[in-house]
Amino acid sequence: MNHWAGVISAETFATERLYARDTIRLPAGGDGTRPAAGDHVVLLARAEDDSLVAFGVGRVAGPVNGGSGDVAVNYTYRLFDDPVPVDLNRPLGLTPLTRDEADRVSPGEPVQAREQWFVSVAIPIEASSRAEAVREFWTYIDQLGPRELPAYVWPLGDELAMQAFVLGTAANQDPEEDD
Amino acid sequence: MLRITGTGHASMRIDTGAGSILTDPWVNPAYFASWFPFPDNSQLDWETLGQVDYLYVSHLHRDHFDAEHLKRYISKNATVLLPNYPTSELEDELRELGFTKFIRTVSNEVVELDGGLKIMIQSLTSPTDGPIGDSSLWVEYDGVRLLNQNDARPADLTEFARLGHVHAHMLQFSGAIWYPMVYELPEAAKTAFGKQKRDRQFDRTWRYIDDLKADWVFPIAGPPCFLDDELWQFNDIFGDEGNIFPDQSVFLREYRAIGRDNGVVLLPGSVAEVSAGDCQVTHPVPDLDEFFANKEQYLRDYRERQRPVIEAAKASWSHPEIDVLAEFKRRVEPLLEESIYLAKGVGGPVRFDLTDDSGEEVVESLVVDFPAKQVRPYSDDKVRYRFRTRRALVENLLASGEVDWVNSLFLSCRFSAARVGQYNEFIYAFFKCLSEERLQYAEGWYDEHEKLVDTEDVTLRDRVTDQAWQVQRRCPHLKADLTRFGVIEDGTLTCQLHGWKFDLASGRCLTSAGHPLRAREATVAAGEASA
Repeated sequence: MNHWAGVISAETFATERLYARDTIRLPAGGDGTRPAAGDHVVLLARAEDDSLVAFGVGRVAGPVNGGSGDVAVNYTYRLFDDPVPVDLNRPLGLTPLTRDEADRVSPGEPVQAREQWFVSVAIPIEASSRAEAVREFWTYIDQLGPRELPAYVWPLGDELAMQAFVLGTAANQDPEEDD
Repeated sequence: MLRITGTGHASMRIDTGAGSILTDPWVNPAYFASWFPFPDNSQLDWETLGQVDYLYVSHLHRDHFDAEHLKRYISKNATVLLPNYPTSELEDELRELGFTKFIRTVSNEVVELDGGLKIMIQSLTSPTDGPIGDSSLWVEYDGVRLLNQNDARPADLTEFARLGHVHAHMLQFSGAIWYPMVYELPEAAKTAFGKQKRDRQFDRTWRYIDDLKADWVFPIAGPPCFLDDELWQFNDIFGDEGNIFPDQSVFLREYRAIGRDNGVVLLPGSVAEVSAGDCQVTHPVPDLDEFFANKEQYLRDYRERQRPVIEAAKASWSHPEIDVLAEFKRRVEPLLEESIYLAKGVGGPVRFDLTDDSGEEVVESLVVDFPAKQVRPYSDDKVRYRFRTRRALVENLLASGEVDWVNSLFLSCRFSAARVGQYNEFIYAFFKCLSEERLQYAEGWYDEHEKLVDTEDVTLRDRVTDQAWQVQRRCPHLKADLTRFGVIEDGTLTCQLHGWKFDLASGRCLTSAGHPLRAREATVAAGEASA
């Protein structure tokens, strides 16, 4: 099994962290070496200051169908909300890592216990019927998504702890606050 | 020693051996008769309280600037301590009321008044600071210092702390906004967000208190109370965890809960004598705790006393002679045309559903279409931002030429808002800037904020000599767009918004010290330049 650094841009990371996808797509490096299914990938994102942060670990699933040369990587685990700075410099895409490098920059698996949450998106919709309102709702979800629509999330049984999230982070919608 | 008399809400009278200062006297209901001072301060001896040496009005929000009260009760011999704001509106309004003596302060600079009294005003001037401007007043006399921070939200209090230990710190702790009550949200979300806001308000208050470490802390500038039956539910008397208007007794309770015992409540008529080592307080009621324990009955009695005032206000709102759509177009479309950042920030149409007086039936719907820069009747297009309010209120705003709908309609809470998506600050910023001066300032501020002011130049041509000049796009005075307001004649550029002049060869401002303009001669093909 080989080891790889899979680097994405800050913009791609901003999009990636909005969804809990099973797979991330990465361009293969330009040196001709091809990752093989099962290879270990440290997932890295370029931060604003051009340094790299590790936001997850995955395994190579195989080439993406369609002949683009991209490689599909299945997430083993993600650290979208607490990425770890790493001392490494790599270009975008997949490039090989030595075993030592991989050990050094691989972030540890988060140990938080899983809890149950309720998540909702409540949109005030004008429509002629319930069915039409639901259609409008899914259209808004489709068009605006997590970039624009606040999602409300609260732990099971504690609605008063409900928080609004936009762009993958808590964003209260209070005109008096500037966070 | 400083003698501080509570005069309600954010108002206090500060008596020193070198003169007296009255701050933010507010008695008459504000924002379409929705906010009233709590507790009632109308029975104070305002004839006497108004005989002061200095007047400080922190900003133009109507719970701080009560024109009727200022006109009737406050001595016109008082010298106004004026914050340094980007527009002259506050001074203009005070002059209109008969005040003639002004000390124009510079933000964060101490002013020495007669008799050893020192003051400093810190002005905040972003479009999100109150009605384009909010401020705090620092006072020192005989070694005793006071900071009336008011409802201003500076990043920190360093500028005050560096002037020496502060003995009395007055600051806002309660809500002063329409969020989350007016929004169409699930009830559980409204309660949760209200509770979190209440918690954030206290957390912010503790941060400021810890910043300054004053001997005594005075919770001021809120909450208001709501005496109209339609708004009664906003009073914090129902045990609602999501209510954003906790009162002074709640402040004391929460403050004690974090281990502090230096909180001082001023009721209207309370007097605090603050010296370097002491604070002696007397109240106009025998028992402060009992006063707050009986709040609901107090408010009910207050409501009965004010019922005629509210009814009279409501009877005055309607202006049936106003053609709302036509007047809306006349007022707003030219501003939409000038708006770059705000219009882009709003990014879509905003609908106003105007109802009859009962609030039940929508009698007119119109759309302010920011991308199309147009006001038009609503057809059936999708809008992501919707307001619903009484038509009479909008008639009133249009009839009176109100330039700040935040400082009138929105703070009244007499509206509801529905939104698809997140909070959009640009909508409120636009509707508080319904004058050319304010809009240009806000546009310029956002322009500067976007770090474009120093990079964007435009080419204008001298009307007399036909010489082309490359100049910065935004006027150094109040950021007016010089492609629109700049006129060059014989090498002098005049910004026609306020008449400021600049010598282009040197870039020197001819109207005021400082404020240089970046300019150089340019070579352009005929027809490229405009002015």
